[in-house]
Amino acid sequence: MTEHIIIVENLVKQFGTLRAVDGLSFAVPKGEVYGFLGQNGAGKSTTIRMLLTLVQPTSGRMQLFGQNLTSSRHAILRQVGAVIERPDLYTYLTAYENLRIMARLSGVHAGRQQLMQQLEQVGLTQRAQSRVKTFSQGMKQRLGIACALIHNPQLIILDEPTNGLDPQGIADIRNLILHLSKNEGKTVLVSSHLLSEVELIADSMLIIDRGKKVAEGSVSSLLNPADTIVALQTTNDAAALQWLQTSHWQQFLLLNADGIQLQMHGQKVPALNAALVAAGIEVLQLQAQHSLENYFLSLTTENRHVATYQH
Amino acid sequence: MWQLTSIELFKIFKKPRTYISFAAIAAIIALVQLALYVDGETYLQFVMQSVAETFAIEGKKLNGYFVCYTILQTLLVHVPLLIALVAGDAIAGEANMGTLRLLAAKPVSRTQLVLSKFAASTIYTVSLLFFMAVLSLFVSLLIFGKSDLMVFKSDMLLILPQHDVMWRYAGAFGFAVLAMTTVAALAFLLSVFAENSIGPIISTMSIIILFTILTTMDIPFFNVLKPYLFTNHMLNWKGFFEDPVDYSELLKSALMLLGHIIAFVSITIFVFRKKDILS
Repeated sequence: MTEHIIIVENLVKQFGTLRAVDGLSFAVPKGEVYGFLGQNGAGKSTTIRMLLTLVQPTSGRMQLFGQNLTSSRHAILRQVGAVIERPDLYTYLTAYENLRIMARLSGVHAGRQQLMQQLEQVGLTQRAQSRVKTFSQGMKQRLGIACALIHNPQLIILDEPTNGLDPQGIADIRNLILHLSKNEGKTVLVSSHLLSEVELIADSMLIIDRGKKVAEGSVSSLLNPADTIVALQTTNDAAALQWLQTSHWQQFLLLNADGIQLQMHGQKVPALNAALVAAGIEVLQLQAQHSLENYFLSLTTENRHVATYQH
Repeated sequence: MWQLTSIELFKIFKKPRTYISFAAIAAIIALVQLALYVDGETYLQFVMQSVAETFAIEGKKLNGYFVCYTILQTLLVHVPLLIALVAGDAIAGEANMGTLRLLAAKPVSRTQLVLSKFAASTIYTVSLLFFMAVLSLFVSLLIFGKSDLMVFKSDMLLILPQHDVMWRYAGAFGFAVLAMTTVAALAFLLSVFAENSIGPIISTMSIIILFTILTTMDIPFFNVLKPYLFTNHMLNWKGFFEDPVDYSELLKSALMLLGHIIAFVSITIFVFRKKDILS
């Protein structure tokens, strides 16, 4: 039976008339990277803040490490390291001083060697004695992660950890998350508004929209290639549609779609292309996209016509 | 608890703005000392003009004790701003920087967090007043020497023998610590509601100015309130320069200030424990 590090049941947070989190339930398996996905304002940060006791839930239950978060706050937070949204630190202090303070606040009396080792892990040894106000966004993010890891937590919560980073910085954070999970056995909850980012690192994921759960499951099952949406654009869409309706591809056609769309296994896309060309249809574009990705993109557009994702 | 307080102290004394207060106090005291050193006799003639025709006072009137008393009279009115500068920043400054969420997500109770921040603000207040005491009293004694202290009251002139003065200053500075800690507690309370430190600093000064106006206005409606306004008790350090000292009055004022400190800090803890940290 899977052991869960986080169990959330019917979590609700109401800010005045706004229901930021609306009856959210999910469970994070031990040792996994768990992606927490949703567009900006979907309720990810509020949920994370409730898990870190920064925000009090209106109702619901949160259990971490098998203990109730309200009654065992201290014991739980000793095992949790977090970077919440921006990696804000004391800019007038050095990287070393920031790390030392965070270690002591986490109940760890780390010596110079341990602190320097932690800075080395995030590549900041050379800048240990530099004030944080001189750091780039990427360096601040790395220091934030060092501060989150200094007390060797079992659960690491990273809220939008790649925000504002350059491609190299994003790759570094991604590798670090994978290293923590695969090599050190840590459980990592990582939030993002980018499916492509979560897809690369997460074992399981949860998608929320307007505070509600939309989908939850393993990444492999949620992003099953059998569930691919293919958007077709040709020089003559009417003729192409007519041909498709008379061929065996007709079974994959999506009705009521904008333009020509087919739902099928991703591996069949080259065969579709070959059949179209053989039928004399000039293909301008053949775009394969997973239906979940398609759904997720629809959430980020103004036209929020998709009510619920059906997996 | 001490560990948390030491972290807060470390942060306070690493922040450049902390030293603005020390620099301001040093500058003001040095200016007053310089002015009195250069033209102290003229100042003495001015303050003694009402009694000059009645009394002939012999001896070293312009001495270290007198200079210190003059400095305290002028400076202690302005110190609340310097106290609010740090205490008002204690929680709001962290919220503004985004570090409050780091602190509150650590395995430390919010009550401990508030108490350690307040303890650090109090230690800063004591340090500032100690610094002020060293400069205004001991440096003045070195420059101007020792003699009896003349204290001018509205209806009398009091001369305190020099051997009877030092303990009064100790009492006065101790009382000033209590008064300024009350200011720190108020700024601290206002800090919990704000997302940047400017608001609490300005609000603290506004409340002090408003209460001081209420204290000085002789309107029967406000007279009922006066005994309960902390500003009415803040300048009672002067009570140590009465002869005899009215200890019951001083104790009453001290308890009133202490009551305010306890109330302000308790409300801060109550609010902070319930607060959603969204910054």
